[in-house]
Amino acid sequence: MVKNEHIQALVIARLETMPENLAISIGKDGNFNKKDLIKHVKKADAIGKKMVKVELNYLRSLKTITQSTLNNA
Amino acid sequence: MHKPTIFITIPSHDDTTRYLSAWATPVIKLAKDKKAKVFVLKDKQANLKNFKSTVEKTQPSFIFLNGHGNETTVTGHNDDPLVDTDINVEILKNKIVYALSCQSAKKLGPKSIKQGAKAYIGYTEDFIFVYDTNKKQYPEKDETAGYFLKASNQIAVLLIEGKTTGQAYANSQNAFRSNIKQLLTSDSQTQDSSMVRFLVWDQQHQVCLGDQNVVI
Repeated sequence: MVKNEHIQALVIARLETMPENLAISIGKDGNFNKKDLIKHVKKADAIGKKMVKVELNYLRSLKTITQSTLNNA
Repeated sequence: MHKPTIFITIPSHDDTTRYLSAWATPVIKLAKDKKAKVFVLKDKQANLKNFKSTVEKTQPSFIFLNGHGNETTVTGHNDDPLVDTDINVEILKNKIVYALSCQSAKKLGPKSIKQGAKAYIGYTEDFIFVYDTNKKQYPEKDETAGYFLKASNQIAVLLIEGKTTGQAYANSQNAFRSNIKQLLTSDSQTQDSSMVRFLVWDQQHQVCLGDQNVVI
């Protein structure tokens, strides 16, 4: 539970850095601005969970991405 | 010289499909410049009846679907299903398909291959893209969306240029990687770096099913 709350806080912190003029298209689920997304993450609904999944996927991939970037620098 | 027949669907009934449609336009132009036979269903024309009749009449070697989707379906105008695992997946037999839509490579793609499609390139999860709301009126000029849509459309561009499905897939993957690297290594602004996680998502969920060595 505590772990989930930490992850949720992390995702919200990341989303906070997103500029106001950007929006995200998530297919049929619709289009969302920063404020919408943060609300969904706080509610932990389907869209919020999707954002968490995207963030965790990114964090898990960072090592590989960084390695690949350094190798090709 | 071989002139392939190419069939493209571009519904544009909401922001997402308007962006996909706008970024598919240069692909259509390229196909026409290459003297391919090009058939396009746009806006309201992108419905099941027209889709079926166009495929049957023209027997395209390459179908480029732009629209919403889920694990079993890719849709056209107003989310009208065009291809569905339980309705008409056999219509993709002998075709090379690129579906720029959500999730369809999860079930529709594999089933189409079982039913005889040569190759199916698509996404096993949602295709997510970021766009600039200030550019919404001119989606083709939105460079933020371009990071996603230009990289994804490399599939269609390379196939039209005569490359194999495997080469087209590899090129699109490289385009995503190149954008990710650019955003991570440059003095990019917050605007840019907040996009990276979604580029990684799309790149990792793009798949090429079926034969990797076929051309259109």
